[in-house]
Amino acid sequence: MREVFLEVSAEKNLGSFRLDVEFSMSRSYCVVLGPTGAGKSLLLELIAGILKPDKGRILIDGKDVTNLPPEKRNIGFVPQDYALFPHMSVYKNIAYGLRRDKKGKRKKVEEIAEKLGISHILDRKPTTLSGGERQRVALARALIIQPKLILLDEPLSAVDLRTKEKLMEELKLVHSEFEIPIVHVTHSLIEAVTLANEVAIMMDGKIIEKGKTKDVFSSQVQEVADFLAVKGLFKKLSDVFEQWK
Amino acid sequence: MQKRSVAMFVVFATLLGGCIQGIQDSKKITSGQTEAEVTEKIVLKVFHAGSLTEPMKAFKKAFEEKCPNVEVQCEAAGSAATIRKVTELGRTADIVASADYTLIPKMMYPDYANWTVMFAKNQIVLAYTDKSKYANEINSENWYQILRRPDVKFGFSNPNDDPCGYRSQMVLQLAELYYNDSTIYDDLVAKHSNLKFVEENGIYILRMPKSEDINPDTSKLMIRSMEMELIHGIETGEIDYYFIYRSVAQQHNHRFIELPPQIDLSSAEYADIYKKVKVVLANGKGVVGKPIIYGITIPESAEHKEYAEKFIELIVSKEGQRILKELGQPPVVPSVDNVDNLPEDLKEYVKP
Amino acid sequence: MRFSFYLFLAVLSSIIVLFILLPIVATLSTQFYDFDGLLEALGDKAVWNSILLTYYAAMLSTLIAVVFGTPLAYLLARYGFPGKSIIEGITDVPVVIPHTVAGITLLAVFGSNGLIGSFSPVKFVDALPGIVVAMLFVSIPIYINAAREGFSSIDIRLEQVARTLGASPSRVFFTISLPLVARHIAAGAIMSWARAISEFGAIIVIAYYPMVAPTLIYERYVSTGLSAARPVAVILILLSLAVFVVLRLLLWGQKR
Repeated sequence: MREVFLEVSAEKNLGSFRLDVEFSMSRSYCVVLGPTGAGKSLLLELIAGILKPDKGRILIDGKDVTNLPPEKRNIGFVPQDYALFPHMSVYKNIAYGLRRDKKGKRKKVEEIAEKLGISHILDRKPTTLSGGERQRVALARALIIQPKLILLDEPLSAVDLRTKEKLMEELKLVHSEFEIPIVHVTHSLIEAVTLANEVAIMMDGKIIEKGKTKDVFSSQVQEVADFLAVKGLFKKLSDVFEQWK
Repeated sequence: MQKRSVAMFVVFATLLGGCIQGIQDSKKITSGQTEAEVTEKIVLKVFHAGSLTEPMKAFKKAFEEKCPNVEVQCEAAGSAATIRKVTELGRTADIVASADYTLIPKMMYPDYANWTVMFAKNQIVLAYTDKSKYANEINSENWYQILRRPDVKFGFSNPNDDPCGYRSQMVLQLAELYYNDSTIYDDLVAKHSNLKFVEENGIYILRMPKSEDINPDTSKLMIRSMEMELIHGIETGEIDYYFIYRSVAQQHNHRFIELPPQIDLSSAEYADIYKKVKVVLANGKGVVGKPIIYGITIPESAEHKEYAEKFIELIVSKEGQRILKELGQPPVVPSVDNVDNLPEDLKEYVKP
Repeated sequence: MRFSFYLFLAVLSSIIVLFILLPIVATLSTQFYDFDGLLEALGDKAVWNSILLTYYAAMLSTLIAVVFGTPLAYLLARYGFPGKSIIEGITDVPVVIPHTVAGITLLAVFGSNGLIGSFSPVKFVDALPGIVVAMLFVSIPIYINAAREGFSSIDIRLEQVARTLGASPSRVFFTISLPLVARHIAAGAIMSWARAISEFGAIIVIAYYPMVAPTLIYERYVSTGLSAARPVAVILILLSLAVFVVLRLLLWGQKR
């Protein structure tokens, strides 16, 4: 059993919706899979510190961050529509998280832009970028602060199929090259199968199953099986998965 | 896209054209309206001076009891502004009542009206409240000494706008003559503003600057357009005293001291004394001191002359005069200017 | 079918535009026949003094509205707290208070014996500060609502992401939220400036002097008549229209 890196044990009441999660992962690529409205984005907000739990705690690398504000947590957050700052150039977007030290700034931005292949668009405004470019900029902006963890909220939902495949490759690369654990939230089985070392399945505000990808996909828990079956791909995909491994 | 803008343009142009046509037609439409209205409740429009607000309310009530098919609508403003609503803004009124009866002949004869009934009088008093400085000291003898004190603030309405304002000036200048103290107006007003009386052939004349040039020292004087607006000043303690009609002071439950009849413009007896002061307003019109007498008339353009006559009948009747008295507005034996033009029904009430 | 819909839009829109335009055009065109009156007013120093005073006081009022209203607008747009709807109600109250009443209440607070006026070294009654507070009182709801709408329209994710990138709430406010609502703030400021210029009812109670343009117009009407008041009104309308158009063009240009 690998070492636990992130541990969330929290409750949050949001009027009509109730979040009650027990979630943990190691330093891996973890996909949180669940239908729309399961509370996946809320889980990310809890981890990022945007949402404060009513009860429970959040541990990152053994450190309790429950009461830390987002700016003290050092977590990179890439929301669903990337939330690039529309009034700033790509360069300024990426540099936003850097402290004032002017000299190193330019270099750091260029370095990371180079790695993500966006050096040529540094002077452009976010509104002029394609979906793939936007994601890379958002990633660069998150990575530049050298975060302990990256949170991706449905990162591939806004791009077409071909870009999607390419971006998935890139996400894998980011994970391995920067050696950063990633929590990737999605409702797409394909993304889970392609990217994840670990999978957690979330429904109605609860994590109903988690573990290594392979174990989860052969889960005997009724709800998990149902969810995967609803997706209509369970059998097929688990076969594919078997072949890949 | 082009089709759209063409459509917009066409409609806009047609409407614009239609409206201009409409403006030209509008006169015809209004003249045709009166017949249709008869079946509904008759609205009797009364434009009156601000100081008549309370009595008019009482008259309205009494009149509506007598004629349930009539609704009386009262509109208060300064006397001059009241008349201008008819003469300049072209609005229709069934009755016009002014705090200075001479304004009706001056501003309305002969096109808009041709007779005036004088139905009430008033007097200028110095009003105050319990919170006013030296409220316990002031009386009819020492009032101008109190006003002289540097920590006392007082107010009057703008002489250019409001008869009560120029009458206040007259009262202060008459006080100089009555108390034989030629510095009263200077100490109280002239030193603190651009207002100044000059003597010409035994007549004291105040030539009003334009309102924006009155330039009052606002730490001593508060000037407001209308007498009613001064009331905010006295009630918030901004000023200690203000010159106002007795009726208004009484209706607002303010304390007041009566000034000697030789100066307070109340008495026909002293008309010759009042004549010694004159104010020339910024618009060039001159007004000579005279007893404060209220005038009322029915404009030529009135829609309901019959009911308007009945309304005036009520005011000049015993009942009306009783109402006036109760509200601190001493009635007079009603008299009339241009008696020949007065409607027959009213003639019995007035002395020519 | 589509054409008739455009026709429907055009008819109703034209009616409301005409409704606004006609009185203004009527005033302007009547003045055209009395061109001498207009020239005379143009040469009248009192007219210019009052108009400049009006613009200046309205500018001060707008500045105060921006400095104090923006944080409140942000607070209302971003945070939920007990009593929030009460605060929202309070900020809208000036809209429904009759202006004379507003003037009286202001006099009660800023008058010589008022809550603030009694100890304030600044004199409010019949002075510039009195004009400014009256203008501020009636125009601040317009500004706050415009700024709040601006803040509400910002994607909250932008602020959240900025926080995760290490920015404190104040840095987020000044580097993300504020620049993004700049246009809303500018538009709100213009509207509240305009509202301040048009105020009369509250000002005349607390500060008849020095005379702002609306007071002067009223004054000329009461003391001399329509013929003296109209040219001043026409100058105020035309000048304000010009200022508006220029400001709007500047804003519009920025958007491009």
